[in-house]
Amino acid sequence: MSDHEHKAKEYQAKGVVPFWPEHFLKELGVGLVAVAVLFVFSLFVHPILGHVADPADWAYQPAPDWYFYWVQNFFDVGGHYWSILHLVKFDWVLMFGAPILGVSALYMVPFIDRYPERRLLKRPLMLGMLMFGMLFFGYFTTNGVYAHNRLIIREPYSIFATSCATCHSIKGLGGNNRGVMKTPTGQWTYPPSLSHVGSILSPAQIRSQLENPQDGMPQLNLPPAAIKDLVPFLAHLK
Amino acid sequence: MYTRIVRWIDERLMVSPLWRDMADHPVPAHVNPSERVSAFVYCFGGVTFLLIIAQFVTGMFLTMYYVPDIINSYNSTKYLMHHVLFGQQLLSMHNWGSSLIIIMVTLHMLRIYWMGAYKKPRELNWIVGVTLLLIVLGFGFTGYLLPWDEKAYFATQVGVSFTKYVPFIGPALLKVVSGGSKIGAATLTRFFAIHVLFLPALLIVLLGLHFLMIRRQGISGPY
Ligand code: HEC
Ligand code: HEM
Repeated sequence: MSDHEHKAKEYQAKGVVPFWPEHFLKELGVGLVAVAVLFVFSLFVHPILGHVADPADWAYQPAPDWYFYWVQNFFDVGGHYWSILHLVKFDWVLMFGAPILGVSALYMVPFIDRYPERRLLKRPLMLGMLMFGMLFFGYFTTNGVYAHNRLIIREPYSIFATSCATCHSIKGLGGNNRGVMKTPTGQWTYPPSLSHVGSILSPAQIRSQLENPQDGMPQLNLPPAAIKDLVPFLAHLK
Repeated sequence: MYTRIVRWIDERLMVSPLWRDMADHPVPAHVNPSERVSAFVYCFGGVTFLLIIAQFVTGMFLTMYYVPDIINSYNSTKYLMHHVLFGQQLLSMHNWGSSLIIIMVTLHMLRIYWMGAYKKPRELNWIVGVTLLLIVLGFGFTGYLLPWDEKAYFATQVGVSFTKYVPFIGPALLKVVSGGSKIGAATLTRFFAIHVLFLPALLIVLLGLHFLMIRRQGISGPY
């Protein structure tokens, strides 16, 4: 019997397989399924390239990649309560202490877990930590997505309130109450109410009014993100 | 012919024993998915590894077109997406690959945690593992800036601003990380270097350690 056959017999008797090629090929098979999923997915769903970075764009609301939502939201929510508790002086406890504590706890898992058993149900502390971790990520991720969406929805209103409401009104809110104003070119005009601007102007006309204001409206140098938010918002005011 | 070439190399380098050690090491039945379907959970680490290799390959091709400066990084990405054959798909694979890796690493970690596979003698490998996780997240964070669109810019601004809370060295650290007083040209080249040189080097070293330890200690047994 050759050396090779000998080994094969021995492995069979023990119920094991050699890593190469038996196990490797199976593992590769599973892995290739994942790569195939990735490949097919990438044929149909493409990432979006936004407007080129513009540091002066005060209207842009950034979002992290999905797996960092919980980080941002944890610090947003945490920071909120921190300031309610008047702990702003101790910012670093929340912003530095908490992440250090979290990462250390993760590193220390094998040393926290002193149970002789390996079954999770027989390791109540570890089960508890797992549950806590999953709830933590789950909560702050969904909350983060929700908070971001709400911010995006409110964005056009807040831009309007800060940049336009001194002159224009929408449905009686905001606007120059005395009606008449002096334009940069020295004429007197009425900033029109924008309550029905969507039925007067097309989205393209609104966009061009914002990019190159005509007549009495001053050039506001609106950043691209603000224009992107305002155009559909105004176009919907019919 | 094949045997003669192998023998020729072995006379000089003796690589066969190394190969045999890896190829022949017995894989127990409880991790073999064709013995027990539930053993697929043992594949998560290997799948992560394969995805990382795919990520290296797509990344290398992306680097052929990408230009890391604040004018051309956006334009070169746009060019790649719209004018290069399969450029769009390449970028997509790299983009979704990062998400898939995060998912697979998480599943792998859950498997280890669930089964208590980090218990003696595998504590050190858990520590290497957590470091791998941080490296993977570092890839995600630095890669996000590279297309230099608004999302990239402002998300990085938020992320980098956390460094200023580090006691004592915070403001200095913020400057080191962003290469100046704000996110700009220096940040981009820095993040590019970290994304394509520093982190891959670290990743390879730690993966080497990870696999060495697995080979040494064997896979953990059934309960
Ligand atoms: C300093 C005052 C002023 C501010 C601030 C201002 N506008 Fe105007 N806007 C005007 C005036 C005056 C006109 C009328 C121009 C004309 O006579 O054609 C006008 C016209 C418009 C029109 C065209 C309306 C129509 O019915 O023809 C739109 C749309 C508009 N503005 C949107 C905005 C938005 C959105 C903002 C905020 C980002 C804004 N404006 C800020 C003064 C202002
Ligand atoms: C970069 C990502 C990683 C890769 C490519 C990787 C790869 C692997 C592979 C292939 C195995 C063999 C068993 C299996 O596949 O389940 C393994 C085992 C192991 N991994 Fe990872 N891993 C990674 C990240 C991690 C992380 C984040 C942790 C934990 C924090 C970790 C902890 C471990 C431990 C403790 C083992 C030994 C398990 C046992 O013996 O049962 N690894 N890893």
